[in-house]
Amino acid sequence: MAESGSGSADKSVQVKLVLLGEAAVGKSSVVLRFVNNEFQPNKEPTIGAAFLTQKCRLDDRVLRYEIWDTAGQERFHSLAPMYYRNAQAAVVVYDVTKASSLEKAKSWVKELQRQANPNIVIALAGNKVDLVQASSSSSGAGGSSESEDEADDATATPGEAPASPSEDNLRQVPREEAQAYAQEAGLLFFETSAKTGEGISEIFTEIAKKIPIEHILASSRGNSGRPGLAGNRAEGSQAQNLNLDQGAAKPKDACNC
Amino acid sequence: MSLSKSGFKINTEPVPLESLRSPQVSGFAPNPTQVSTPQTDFDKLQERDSVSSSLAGFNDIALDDDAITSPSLETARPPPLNLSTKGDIHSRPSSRASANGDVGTATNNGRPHSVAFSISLDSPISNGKSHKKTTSTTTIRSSHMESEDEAFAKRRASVRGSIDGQQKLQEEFARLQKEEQDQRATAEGAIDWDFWGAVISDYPSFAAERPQELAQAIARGIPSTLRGMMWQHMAASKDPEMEILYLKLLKESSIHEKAITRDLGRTFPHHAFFTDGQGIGQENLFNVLKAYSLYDPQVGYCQGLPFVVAILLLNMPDEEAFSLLVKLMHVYDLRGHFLPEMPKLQMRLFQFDRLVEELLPVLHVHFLRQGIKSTMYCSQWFLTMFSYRFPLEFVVRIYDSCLANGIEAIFGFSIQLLRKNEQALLALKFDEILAFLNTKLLDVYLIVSIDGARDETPRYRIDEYVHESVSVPITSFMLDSFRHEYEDLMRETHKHKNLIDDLTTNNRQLTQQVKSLEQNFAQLNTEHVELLNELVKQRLKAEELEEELVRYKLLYAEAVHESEDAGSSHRISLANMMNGFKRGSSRSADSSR
Repeated sequence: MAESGSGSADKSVQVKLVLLGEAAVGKSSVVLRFVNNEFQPNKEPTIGAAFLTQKCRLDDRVLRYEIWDTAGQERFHSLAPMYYRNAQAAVVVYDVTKASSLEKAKSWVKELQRQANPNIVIALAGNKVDLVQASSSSSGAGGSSESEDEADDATATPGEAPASPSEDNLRQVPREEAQAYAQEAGLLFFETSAKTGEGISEIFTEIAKKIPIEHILASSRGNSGRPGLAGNRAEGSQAQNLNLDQGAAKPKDACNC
Repeated sequence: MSLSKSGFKINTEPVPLESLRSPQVSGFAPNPTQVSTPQTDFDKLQERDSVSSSLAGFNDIALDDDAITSPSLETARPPPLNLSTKGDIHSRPSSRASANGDVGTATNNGRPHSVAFSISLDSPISNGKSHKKTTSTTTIRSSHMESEDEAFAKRRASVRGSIDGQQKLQEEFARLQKEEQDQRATAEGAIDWDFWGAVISDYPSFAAERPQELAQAIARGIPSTLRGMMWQHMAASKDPEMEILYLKLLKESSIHEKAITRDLGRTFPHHAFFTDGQGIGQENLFNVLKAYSLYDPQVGYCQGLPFVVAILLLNMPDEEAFSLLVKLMHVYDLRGHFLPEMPKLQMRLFQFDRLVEELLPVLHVHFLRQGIKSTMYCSQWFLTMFSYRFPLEFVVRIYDSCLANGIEAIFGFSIQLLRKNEQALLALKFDEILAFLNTKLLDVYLIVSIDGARDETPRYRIDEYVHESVSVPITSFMLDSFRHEYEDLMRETHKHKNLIDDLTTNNRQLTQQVKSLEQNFAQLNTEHVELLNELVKQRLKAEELEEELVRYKLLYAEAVHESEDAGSSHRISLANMMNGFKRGSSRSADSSR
């Protein structure tokens, strides 16, 4: 019973993923685009944290992302460790139109590298590129649809948008700078737009490629008595309460599917 | 102008109950029927416009047009409820307050003795006058509230239909009145105006004398028109000084302004009052949040707070909302939810966990096995007092209860949601549980119409929910003991932490010691090695000497042997020889060295 259960779990590998980053950079929107392929212009701020799942196919494997979308405001920081502690992947999001958000992203990366699972795959995502790309196209396009877009843009970052009327100035983080940093720190790097969908699915497929699936599978087979627990943490799961609690979800998952 | 302004001012105060009570206004009710013909009025209004108003003419006509019917609409319905049932915009306190003011002004003007009170305008007909006053009020008001009111006016205009004649107006009154009554009957049940009037007129003594009755009435729901007032009464938040302070704070600037602005569009984005743009809702939201961030810099601004403030703003003007927010934070102790580290939130989550454990033990175990923690779903309930995801009609009832009974009432509402859905939750797995907790908790209270189809706008059995929540057996004793448990736990953790800290510093010192000792040791070691080398050298030398000694001993033994053989008879000469040999050998030893 347990064996057949873990057998089916082999096909769909569970990957715990956490989203981190400064407030209002678009973490929830990135997830919403990935999970539901939707975009909501005025997304409510995340209070506490939100949980979503999405499957992702890679070659003959199916990965099941279990995504924790965290609240961005500094005050919620103390809640974050319980979400990233067991994560196998993290997407650290910043806003290309806000330089300070990259600094915050760097500090998250540092914290992850120090505190999280040592094998964690980290992706750095510079979101809201639609805001900086509009500059090149808007001069030509103009049109009525454009004005609608602008309304949305303004609401996406109401604080910044009116301050800098020229869209050319909107970009505060050069792609090269962020990319260089990502390379140096050993991160996957993307520029994305949750609004247009650009670069979103790439984040998750690249993470899927980089994640040590075999390792996860091996450790889950090695612990066939409790297949779910093994998925994330081979050892020491009993010692840590949190691990046990969060992992406990999985034995059931594995058995029932 | 000045009249209408003063009318406006009055309205920012809690509307005096008398102005709400029907008798007065019903006195006014016949008035509109005296309107000669609307057309005449219309002409006069236009006339006035050209004289007294610099506002855009066309717009004014539309508004005036509306204003003609506005008093009639107001009288047609029992005034206290007049606007609230019409929709979101109208449940907004500021517009309600000013609209009530309109009624008051109109009422005064409609009466003969009020002529002295009115500014002399160009109309000789008292009837027309009354309408003109109303009109100017409306105009001024609209100049303050702009687009909000335009929408409001349009809506009214569309509701109103034709105003061709008296007859039609009267029909309209009757129809609206009936509609209103029907709506009231279904939406809120009959409101006991005498009761609520008595409550509002002297809340403290009423609460002291008839607490039981009051509590029951609040649990049944405060009438939406009186809600803002009642909340302020219950929290005793009405404080002119605080409102002055608020106005003062508005002039200062806060470091949190950017963060607040960023979240404005993200607070109830689908609610008409808070839609993006120049909406008065967002402006008020910004003002109250900014003022609070200045008032309480330690809290500053925290996400979650806008949702609480928004609920207040839907029921009262901004300066009153600010005063009530201050009370909520400090007296109701919401403040600890929003401080850095959120200490009170942590404590209440602990209390909540323990309540689940006590009251819903099966579910508690299920959650434990599935890895569901209260922080995953409950922190947003507590931080926003349920206003984050729940339908507003639920939220206001929860606020009713919390303001009446203290913030602890929130535990009952939370536990009841789990209790009602326990069976469903027990069948679910980790991710399904979280999804369920976010979206489906209220479905058990959905009213499903007879044919089985759900209404387009879902309606809920809210009274049932409130009643059940209030009767969840949570005692203050339980909460207290859980709080103590938490505090002990914190102390333990602290102690533990302190211990760890001590040990860490100790360890650091010891490591230092070890390091210096190791250095000492290394030094000693090298010295030791040197000595050993010396020793070995000395030993080798000693061995050499020993060998030599052995050699000489052998020589000596030989010599003794020879001498014994050679002359045992010459003892004296032997002795001489011996002496001579000894001397010789020592000399030879000296020379060999």
